[in-house]
Amino acid sequence: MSTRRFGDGWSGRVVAQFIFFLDRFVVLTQYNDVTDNGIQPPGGSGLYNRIAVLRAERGISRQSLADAVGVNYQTIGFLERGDYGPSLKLAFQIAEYFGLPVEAIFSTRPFVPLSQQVYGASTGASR
Amino acid sequence: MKTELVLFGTHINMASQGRRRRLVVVVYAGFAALMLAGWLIDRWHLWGAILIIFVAPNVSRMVIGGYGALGKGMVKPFLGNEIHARYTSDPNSRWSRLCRLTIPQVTDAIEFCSDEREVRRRDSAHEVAYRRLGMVVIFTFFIAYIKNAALPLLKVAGIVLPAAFFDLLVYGLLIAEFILFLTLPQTILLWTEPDMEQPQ
Repeated sequence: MSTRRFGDGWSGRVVAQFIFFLDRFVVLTQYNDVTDNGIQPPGGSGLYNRIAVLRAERGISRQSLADAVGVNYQTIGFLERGDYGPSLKLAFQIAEYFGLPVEAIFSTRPFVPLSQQVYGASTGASR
Repeated sequence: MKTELVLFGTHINMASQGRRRRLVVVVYAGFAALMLAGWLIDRWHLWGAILIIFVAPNVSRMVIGGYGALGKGMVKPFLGNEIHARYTSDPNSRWSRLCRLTIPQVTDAIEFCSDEREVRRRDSAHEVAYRRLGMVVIFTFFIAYIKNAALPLLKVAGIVLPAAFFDLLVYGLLIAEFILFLTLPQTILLWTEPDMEQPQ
């Protein structure tokens, strides 16, 4: 005796198609922020930056930097955490503000810690 | 997005995401009550619909912001950048003077305009909101299309509905879609923006 499996009859096919349609509907209506495409370190932008270090080194507030480059101070916070990848224009404005080349502030690879740059690989964690 | 909501002169701190989410829930509960009031008045046929059409945009403008907000509400005006650019191109023109009188915030670029991150989030929220809303609108028109066939079929199945049931359903859905059309992108922004920091 043959056993009937799900999807064999016309009613099963209709139910399967309905489930497929519902699944497509859910996928199509997912909230995908344009800045977040998959999991990328750090934050969602996939860009590493030294803005927080440079700001602390020079004693500049987020508000001052934001005013200088014409963005909201919260955007500076998003940039520092790597949650937002800046436009080319904003990246160059920030580089110009700090008087550094853009690659000294932004990178797609993690920056070498300053302590390691100054004292070499024999310090801290390497011991 | 602003960190505080100014309502009738009262400043309410809205920096935390939790507070903003509660605000969204309260606003939509208010709209649901408004729809119920419209239905009780005359089943949305005239005065009920007029009440919603007049009240919903004003509540949206005052509390949520975004469309037609002109500096009020939580979300910055969606057309703030365009209005500000026209204003700064000639601040002494008749249009700019009128603009300054009606929208005093237009002179403050940081408060009135969106920066590139905010513009990107605004566009993203619109894409998500109207993609969902588009599907609901298609569903509404589908109901309107099948209503003549559906009533006899339901009667055969033993479900007897009044003749006006589908008309009311379609009308109610259209009014709800009107409210969502006015508010959904802004509420997505309010809901998804993380806790805001203070300037340091």
